[in-house]
Amino acid sequence: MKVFIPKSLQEAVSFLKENQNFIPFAGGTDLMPLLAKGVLSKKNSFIDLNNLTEELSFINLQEDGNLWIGSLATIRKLCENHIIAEHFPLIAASAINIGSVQIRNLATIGGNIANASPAADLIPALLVHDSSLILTSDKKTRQIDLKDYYVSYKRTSRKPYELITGIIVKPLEQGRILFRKIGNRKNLSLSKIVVSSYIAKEFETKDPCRFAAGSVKEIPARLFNLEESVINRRISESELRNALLRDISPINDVRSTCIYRTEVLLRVIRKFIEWK
Amino acid sequence: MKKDKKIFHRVDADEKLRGKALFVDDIYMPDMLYGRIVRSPITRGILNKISIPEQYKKKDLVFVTYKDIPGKNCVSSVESDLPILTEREIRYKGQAIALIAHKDREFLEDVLASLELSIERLPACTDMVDSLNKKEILVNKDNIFRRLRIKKGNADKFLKESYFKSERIYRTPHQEHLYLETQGMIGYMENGVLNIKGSMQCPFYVVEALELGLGISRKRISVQPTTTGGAFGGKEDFPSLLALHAALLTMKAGKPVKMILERGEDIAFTTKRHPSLIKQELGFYKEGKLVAARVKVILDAGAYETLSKVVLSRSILHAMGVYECDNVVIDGELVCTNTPPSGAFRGFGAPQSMFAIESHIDEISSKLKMNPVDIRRINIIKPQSILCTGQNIGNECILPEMLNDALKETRYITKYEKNNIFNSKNREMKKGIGISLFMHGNGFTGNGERILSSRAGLTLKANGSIELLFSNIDMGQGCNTVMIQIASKALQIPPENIYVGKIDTLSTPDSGPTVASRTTLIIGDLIYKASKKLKRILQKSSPREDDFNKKAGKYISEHGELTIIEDYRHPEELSFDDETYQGEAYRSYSLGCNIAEIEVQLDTFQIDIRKFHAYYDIGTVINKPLSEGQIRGGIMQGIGYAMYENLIFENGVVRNNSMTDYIVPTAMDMPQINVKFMKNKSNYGPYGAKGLGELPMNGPPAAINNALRQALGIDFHSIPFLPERILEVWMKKNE
Ligand SMILES: Cc1cc2nc3c(=O)[nH]c(=O)nc-3n(C[C@H](O)[C@H](O)[C@H](O)COP(=O)(O)OP(=O)(O)OC[C@H]3O[C@@H](n4cnc5c(N)ncnc54)[C@H](O)[C@@H]3O)c2cc1C
Repeated sequence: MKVFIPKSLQEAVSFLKENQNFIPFAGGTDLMPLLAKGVLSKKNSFIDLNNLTEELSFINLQEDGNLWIGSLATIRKLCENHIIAEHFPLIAASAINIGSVQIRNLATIGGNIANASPAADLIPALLVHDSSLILTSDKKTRQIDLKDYYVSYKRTSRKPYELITGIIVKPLEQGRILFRKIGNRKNLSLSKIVVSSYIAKEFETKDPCRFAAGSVKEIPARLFNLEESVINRRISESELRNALLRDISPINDVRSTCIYRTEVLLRVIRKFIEWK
Repeated sequence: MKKDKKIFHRVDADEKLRGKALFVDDIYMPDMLYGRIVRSPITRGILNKISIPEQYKKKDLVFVTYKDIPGKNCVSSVESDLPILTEREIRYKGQAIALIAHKDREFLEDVLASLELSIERLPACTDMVDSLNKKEILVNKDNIFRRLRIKKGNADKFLKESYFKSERIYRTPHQEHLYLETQGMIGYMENGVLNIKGSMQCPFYVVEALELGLGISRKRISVQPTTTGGAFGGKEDFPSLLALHAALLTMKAGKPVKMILERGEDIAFTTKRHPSLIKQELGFYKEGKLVAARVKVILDAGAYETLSKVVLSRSILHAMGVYECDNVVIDGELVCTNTPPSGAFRGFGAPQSMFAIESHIDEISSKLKMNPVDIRRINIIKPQSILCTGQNIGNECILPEMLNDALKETRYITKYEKNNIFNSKNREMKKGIGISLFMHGNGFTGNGERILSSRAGLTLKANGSIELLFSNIDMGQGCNTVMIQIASKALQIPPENIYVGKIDTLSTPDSGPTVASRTTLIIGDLIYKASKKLKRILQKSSPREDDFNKKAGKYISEHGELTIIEDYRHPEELSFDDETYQGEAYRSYSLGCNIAEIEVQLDTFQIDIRKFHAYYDIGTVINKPLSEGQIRGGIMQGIGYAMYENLIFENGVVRNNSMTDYIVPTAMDMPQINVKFMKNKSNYGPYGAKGLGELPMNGPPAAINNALRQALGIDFHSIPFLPERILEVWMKKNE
């Protein structure tokens, strides 16, 4: 097994430019199980990002109210951060529900995003916050909206020579939020459904609601049709159901069923919308 | 008296907490090789040929097939039909075909990936219903390994005459043990003796298997159990097979060989709890008295029969639950399917039966417009009740008292009525309270203990300490602590002067397997008797001396060390007929009552257990913290069985063989559990103790089912109660 351990971000990206088959390795909590299962093996090569932790685990509130999070910030760090707890409760709730203490100590936000699992718990909250990613390569840095990042099942628009270096999270206006993770037990469980939602207090603003969910289609899903339905106040059960069905395409797998995912998501969202 | 109340701390706590205890995978030996099992890639077929590609032949690869087996190619068990290695017939995916060993583990992976197998595929039956319908004939004429029957009175006649009849079919699935430590063995030769070290519950079962399979005398076999990290029955029968594999490899290689199963392999190919299909026809008189029952219990034995007969036997003996009924016929059948052989699992056939009968009785109460308590009051066993085998339960049966205490202290009736009102008004959430009563027969069934003739005892060592001699395994349940406690009390010496001897089957007496809730009960009694005997001997040698150390010192200086071994003696008044299933099936029965209080949210359909009340009669409680530990753990395992665990078999292959996808509850899922022990004393067992280990497994599924019945008005006839399933049934019902 080949492992390259760069000392700086610059060294990392210049190496990647020449060695595009090297797989970025952050906390390793997604990669290690793949190695154990044999999906990855000693034939693969890795670039270990752990020396870049200092450079890339910042959590900074900018003057414009946006929150910048370094890709190597651990989930534990998100859980313990006061700004997040106070101003970004959806992120805080998503983070604290990930894995176990041991996993949260290692797992990074960048890994959660880059792994591109439809069940990744942080992503719906980040989508509701209209977040964007900073991708860095040898000579260039680009920004992309998170909602455009996922292409198909476990495929993203990241180029093999790019690293995710930061996430820009926009604040929400005053309003109500909902986070629900439905797993098959209370702790250490992967999501059967994970949902983050926001409805503005002032419904007349230009962006009055956002909904996003995980594990309900092949990529993390922003529920645009549902949002439109809500904005147009078409919120009867059948209207919501029809809108939702255009947003999601859940499957039967070892964790849950298509019917369960659809029905429960609908019920949870309806309850949230109707809440007074 | 006060001194007895002192808490006995676990004797193994320190070494386990400090990581000093050695599990088999912690052991390294010079020159050691790693062994792997070449497994069948198909569920049913005929093996024609297996060969290793040329390029691997020279590289010191140790390769073993059935041709290398010096003894009989079978694993000794109740029915010794499982081959050690496949000769021709393959009956399940994962069946062992050959063994390989090498010092480089990654090399073994490469070999496994490139072996050439020539196999003729045959159509399979991977579900018990297919087997029962004889879709394919796998064994015998009809895929049935064995039939057993219990009969009392005239069930046919009284079923016809009964006022109300109810017929139901219940199904329960596989359950995986998920012990923390996966299966593992090391084999090596030393001075002409075969040494086997590993994780196991029954060292002498392993000895028997090695004797038969290798054709060597047990005098040349030394089995030494290592610290065993959980077992739950999973290390009763399977270790015999793995030990044989390690032995064959080490004998061929002339080097130590270690075999450790990976978690995925362990879940997929080792034994599981028997799936069941239970048909019940119950007949009642008008006032709710159960008058007749016709029951059929079908267990899925998997591909080979192995020990399944005794599991079936316990299933049918527990088929009537805690109910007295004069006219009963219970039929048991073991069916063959193309899945890994089912094996021992905590409860051993009883949890399936208890789930069925306790759910059915509860369901009937609503049909008879009685409340769930009254129907039980009328029918449960009481002092002097006669069980289906004709056994008189005796005077120690305190089930009616336990039921009363449980109802009163949990305010069951009030809550039951309040829930009904709540549910009629509330559309977002429903509440339910459910009860189950259950029992578990202690020790081996029928003549089992007589045949086992366990032996255990102690040695007074030269330095005055006491070494306890028995071959039962402390796999985490704490039996070493309890044995020391029993000896300490009988000898009236501090526990620090007593220790448990290291088990080596060449020298340790055979005290039988560590199963069937028998260790405290049977071995504890032998230790108690040996301790008392030692006390008498020392008393005789120095009648005027009070101090134990002085007495012991005097005895040792005159006679040297003293070893006392007690032989098991079966109580003469207990007899059982293995043919007719009449008589005393068990010396004593431990009893239990569980009450589950649940809430079901109508958005996620997850069951939230708000409170779980658990009442037990296990006779005298010897060690309260350990007993409570067994109970809380057992309840969680029962809750797992009822609500979470869902082993997905597809065409005979486990699909979710990982910790990620085979879901068991975690500590965070543990509800508030109130445990209470009833005061009672058994005639059999040290200090009046009864068995405990398996009992807690029998209650939770039915209690939760019965709570669900109140909450949702739905009668479930199978487990697990996954939210997906509840949602679908609910939607159908409320369409
Ligand atoms: C027991 C267990 C429980 C878990 N529970 C949960 C849970 O509840 N919820 C949940 O969402 N997840 C869970 N996970 C999954 C995992 O912990 C998370 O997805 C985690 O955030 C991944 O981060 P990591 O740093 O460990 O990623 P790694 O394993 O290091 O990497 C994951 C992927 O991202 C890529 N990558 C990592 N960093 C970068 C980067 N900076 N730039 C580009 N690519 C990068 C890697 O190449 C890899 O493909 C669990 C995992 C385990 C083992």
